[in-house]
Amino acid sequence: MRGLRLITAVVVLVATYLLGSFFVGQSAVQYVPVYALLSLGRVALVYFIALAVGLGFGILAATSKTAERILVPIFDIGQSVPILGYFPIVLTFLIILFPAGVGNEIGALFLLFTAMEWDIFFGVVGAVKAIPSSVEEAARGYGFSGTNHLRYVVLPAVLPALLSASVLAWNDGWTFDAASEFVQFANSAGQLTTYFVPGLGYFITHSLNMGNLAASWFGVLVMGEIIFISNQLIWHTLQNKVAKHKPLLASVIRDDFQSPLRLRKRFRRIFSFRLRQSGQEVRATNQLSTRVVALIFVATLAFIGFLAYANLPISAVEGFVAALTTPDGQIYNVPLYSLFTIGRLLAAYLTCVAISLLCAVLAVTKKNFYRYFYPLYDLGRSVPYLAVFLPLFVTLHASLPAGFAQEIASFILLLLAMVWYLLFNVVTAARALPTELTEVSAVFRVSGWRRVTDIILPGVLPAFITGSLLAWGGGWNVVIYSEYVQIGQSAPYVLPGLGYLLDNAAYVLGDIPLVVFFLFIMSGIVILLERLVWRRLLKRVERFGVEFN
Amino acid sequence: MTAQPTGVNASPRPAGAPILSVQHIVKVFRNGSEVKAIDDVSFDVNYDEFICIIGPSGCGKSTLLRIVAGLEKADSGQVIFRGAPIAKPSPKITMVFQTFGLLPWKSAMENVELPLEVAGIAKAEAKQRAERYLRMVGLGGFENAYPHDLSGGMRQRVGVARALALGPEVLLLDEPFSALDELTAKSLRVLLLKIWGDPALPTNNFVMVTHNVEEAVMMADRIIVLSPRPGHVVGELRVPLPRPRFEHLRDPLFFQTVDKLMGMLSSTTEEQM
Ligand SMILES: Nc1ncnc2c1ncn2[C@@H]1O[C@H](COP(=O)(O)OP(=O)(O)OP(=O)(O)O)[C@@H](O)[C@H]1O
Ligand SMILES: [Mg+2]
Repeated sequence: MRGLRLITAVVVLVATYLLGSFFVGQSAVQYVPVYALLSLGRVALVYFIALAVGLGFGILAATSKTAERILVPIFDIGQSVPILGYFPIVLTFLIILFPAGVGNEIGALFLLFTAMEWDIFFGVVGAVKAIPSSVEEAARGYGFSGTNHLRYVVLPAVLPALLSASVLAWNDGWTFDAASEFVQFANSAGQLTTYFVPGLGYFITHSLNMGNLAASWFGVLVMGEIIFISNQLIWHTLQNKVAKHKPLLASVIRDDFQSPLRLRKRFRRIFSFRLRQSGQEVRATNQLSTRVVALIFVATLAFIGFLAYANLPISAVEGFVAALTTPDGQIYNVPLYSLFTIGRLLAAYLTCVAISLLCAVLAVTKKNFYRYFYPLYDLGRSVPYLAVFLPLFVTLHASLPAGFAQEIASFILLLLAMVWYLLFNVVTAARALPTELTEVSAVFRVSGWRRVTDIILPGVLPAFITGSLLAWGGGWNVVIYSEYVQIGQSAPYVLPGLGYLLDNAAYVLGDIPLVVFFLFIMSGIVILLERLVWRRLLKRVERFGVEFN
Repeated sequence: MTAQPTGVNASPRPAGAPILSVQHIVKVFRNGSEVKAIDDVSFDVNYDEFICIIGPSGCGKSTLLRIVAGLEKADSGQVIFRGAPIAKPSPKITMVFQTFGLLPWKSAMENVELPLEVAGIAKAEAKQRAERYLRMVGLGGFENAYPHDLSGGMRQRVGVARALALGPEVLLLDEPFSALDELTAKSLRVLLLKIWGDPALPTNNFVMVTHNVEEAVMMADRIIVLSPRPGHVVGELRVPLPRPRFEHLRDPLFFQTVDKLMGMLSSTTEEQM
């Protein structure tokens, strides 16, 4: 069975290559296998680094209170800041610091690391914390300690969660591969700079620069195939193996399919300082921290706004203010452009909402929904959306004006980045709705629209809000990528938005304080939206959730 | 031709005919493997009767009830209600669920109102009726409470009010007390018997599934005993105790009836007790 799948995978890849040679051109695609291997090596290397770091720090944070107090906030902040937002700064620093070539490579690896690490770290923390106390006590009773304890209790207990987190990390790593391998921008003098490391992501963008759209799409196809195949061959196989031990670890994972995001939801809770320990919810400084974040954010904004507009000569901050208020920095555009970016996210989000709620209804009402849903979901998750963006934009631009093409490509990018979180959570919840509710609606003849509004939608609401929270997090990360596009020598294509301001500050102006300022604004909006909108809603509906026992 | 009506809006009763007739029901579940759940079960429910169905776990009691409710299709056989076969759920036959089946996002009131509104009853009228039934089950003052604020017993009271508010003729109950503690169960049994015997209510025919022998003897006119899976009727017991039953819980006759039922049950199971 496994051998057969392996052979099928190889045949598909070889056939893709041959077709590519035939249709796209032998010379254009001849190095694609090498690039694919290089990207695979990079993603795999970073995965193992992320695994080591996540396991080490995760177990430490889960077992030591002091370590937890230090590590969890650090990792929490790390994952709250949109990765693609601070990538430009990091890259700029690395390239100054290291000799030519090395800086790029470290930058690429670093971006991949930040794309992969959080899932694994929080996966480990959650799983160790979820080890039933009976197991812990039994282990202590048998005198397990130190390495024995780690080997026979902690690691096996963490394994399922680690696998689920690994699937997420692996997919996120591939998704960000395209962004990490090729960075290109023109500075204010119009001088083009390119940082790249060889790999599939590089190939996809480079082909576009060469004007070879077909080759670019071919690169996307190969990348998608590699993601799909590695998911099927590696992760599904491992998960099935681990599934055997699951009854013991039921508190961690219910189902192969639903585990990853369930876990994520769990960790999101953990680092909102609402610790779920043995059924008891310990609520600490959550309320306070939200207020503090909001207060600091608003105060700083007001202060900077005041300085920027009044242009007060305060010597200590003069240099910074000067940097902020350069006309090219466009700081006056922040309020409006923030709204544009939020609007872009909102449009994609509302589409995701429509799709996922429709699927929730279908999941409850159509018997064989899952037969089509799961394969499609697997396939859809394999689409490396960041890699798709540029060739998609160029393809659309062939027949549409640039701004319009970029908006559509951005919309599709955001849709692909956001929809899976919502779909996954909502469909899983619809599937888990107690059959008694189905019977209640049948006995009392609640059908049609009434059934949708009174039973199905409220039933999936908590999962829907969790999914929304995750979707917005994912969306912020990629919206930056879509607002600033540099292809070949032409002038950059831009959409008015925070991401554009950020990229402009980083690449065109090379103004670090300004980049930090925009990052600050963006992170502030992200955190505030999460705290003020999603967490509040979640708390409100949680008590109306269906009880699963 | 017609007997005397007992309820406020009781329908005519054809003499001699039962209100509900379960005829040769066979049910096989097929998903991958075949599980025969019910094997040729027949019994009648006469007007004003309280029927209990008892049998070992997994013998198909819930399945049988769900077929009567029109939730599940039998492979063969049929259920006749007032002369016509049941094909789908009807407002004349409602159900009380083992784990209550309340919608957690609706208040007690809204839970009771929903089926009324769905049945096309005007909002004001539905509200009034829901209030009346909630008061009847002892939940006056809890109209706006949500299920998670209510105790298990109170939740089941909401479940009962919801099932009765439509004014059904047959009430189906699937182990309605098994998720409750004994004291709570006791008071709910009394409540249900009161409702069953209330001539002002149209709901006078109860079919209740239970595991509990004493409970069956305390409540039923007639008890249908099912065999282990695949369930078939191994016997039927008419409870000879006069009502109200809770005045006779110390009678030797009560214990004799319980013993007899125990005997019937254990004779059907392999492992003798
Ligand atoms: N939807 C279904 N698909 C497959 N098998 C089913 C289904 N529903 C019930 N069964 C099987 O049919 C048999 C009878 O189930 P049922 O729930 O009716 O038993 P029961 O008498 O109510 O048991 P209990 O006393 O535990 O409630 C069981 O073996 C059960 O596993
Ligand atoms: Mg049952």
